[in-house]
Amino acid sequence: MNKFLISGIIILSLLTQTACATKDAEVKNNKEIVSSDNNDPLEKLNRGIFAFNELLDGLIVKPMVHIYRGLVPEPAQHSVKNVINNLDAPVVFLNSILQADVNNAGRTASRFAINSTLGVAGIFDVASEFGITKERDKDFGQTLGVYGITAGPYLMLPIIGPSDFRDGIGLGVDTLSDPFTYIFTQGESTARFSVTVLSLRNDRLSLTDNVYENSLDPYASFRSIYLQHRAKSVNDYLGKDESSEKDAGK
Amino acid sequence: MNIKSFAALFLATFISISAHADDKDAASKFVNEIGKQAVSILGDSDKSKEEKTTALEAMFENTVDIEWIGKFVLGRGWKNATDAQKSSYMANYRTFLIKHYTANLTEFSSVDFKITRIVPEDNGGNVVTMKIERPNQEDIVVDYTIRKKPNDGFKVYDITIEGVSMITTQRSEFASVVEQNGIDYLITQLAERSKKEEKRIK
Repeated sequence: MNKFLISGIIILSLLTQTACATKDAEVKNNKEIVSSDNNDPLEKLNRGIFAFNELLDGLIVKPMVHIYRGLVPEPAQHSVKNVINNLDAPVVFLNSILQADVNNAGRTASRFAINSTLGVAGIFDVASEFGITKERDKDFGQTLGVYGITAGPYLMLPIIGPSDFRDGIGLGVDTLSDPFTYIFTQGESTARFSVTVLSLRNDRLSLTDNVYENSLDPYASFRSIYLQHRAKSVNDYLGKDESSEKDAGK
Repeated sequence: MNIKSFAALFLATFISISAHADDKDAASKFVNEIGKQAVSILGDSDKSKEEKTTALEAMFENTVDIEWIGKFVLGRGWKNATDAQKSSYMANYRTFLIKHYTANLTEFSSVDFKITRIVPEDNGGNVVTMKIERPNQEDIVVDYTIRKKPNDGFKVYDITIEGVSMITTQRSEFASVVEQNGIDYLITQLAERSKKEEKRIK
């Protein structure tokens, strides 16, 4: 009897240690790491498009952001973000399912239902007040990454900006899988795109200004930042909360 | 298997777990202390802006492994550099890094922080996550990569915000600059930037 008990405890403790080690190894092996040794085979082309985007940015987008900031008070800017996020819900829901993140899918569906009705077409984030906090953003590019597809070469897309091969495909699929693409008229879709660009650019303005001020090669910095940011969204796809992370460490 | 062997095995398991935990706790304590030190310097109303900057710069130099980071961010350029270039680069990089980071800090007069998470990282160290609370502004979440330097204390090896690592980004940037314009150009740029930061403080 003693022998079994003791063997049982030994096996259990060995298994626990192995499990911890395997968990670490799994995280290591599945983790997407961005190499800091620049892998940008399309660099010349990308830099050209980057220069074009910079021109567009300086002439049109940034002035519009300043007008936006002048005309639209911050609470309203927040409401605009709420509407944009709400319209993204179907795509986020779909990709949550594809990534087997049922929790996030449920949250997205609830928030969409509540905010579209009680929140008046998404203007007010009523769902948060009910305790259903913002879901994790998901898109098809991230889903591809989660399924093990590597990012591929870095791409600088006209107007849209930094991307990579995987995210480029993701963007296409997102557009095709978005019900609003079919529900909205061409005018409404264009308006949605423009407002999204404006709102995002507004959010990122201080970051981009920072890079331009401090970087000796903004193109390279933006490339690195983008690729790292996307790698993180793939690595974090299940959005482990803080408490489980602490346990994983033990 | 008798009770002695069992006790020995149990003890061995317990010790190996504790040793792991000690490292994490020590790393967390280290970050907590440097955080407290920075907050007290920033909040010291008796000090002038210049005095605060000098104190922060000294603290930065002691807690960050600038030499290691300098070599890392230069990447292949380090191997290809002459000895003269290496020492010039390290000197200019050191000044640049210290000035760049401390110049931004003196803007904050009152911040509060909390250590929220400690996770081991691939190279034997730990990543300590700190949430910085600023009055009337959004919280910032910063990850510090902490490793124990042999024959020395804990040092900071990287700062990561929202998944973007400072040393990875900088390495990419420097590689690009060196490839296009050479290391001497990089060194002069670093010197120029340091002077710019200096002007900002005054």
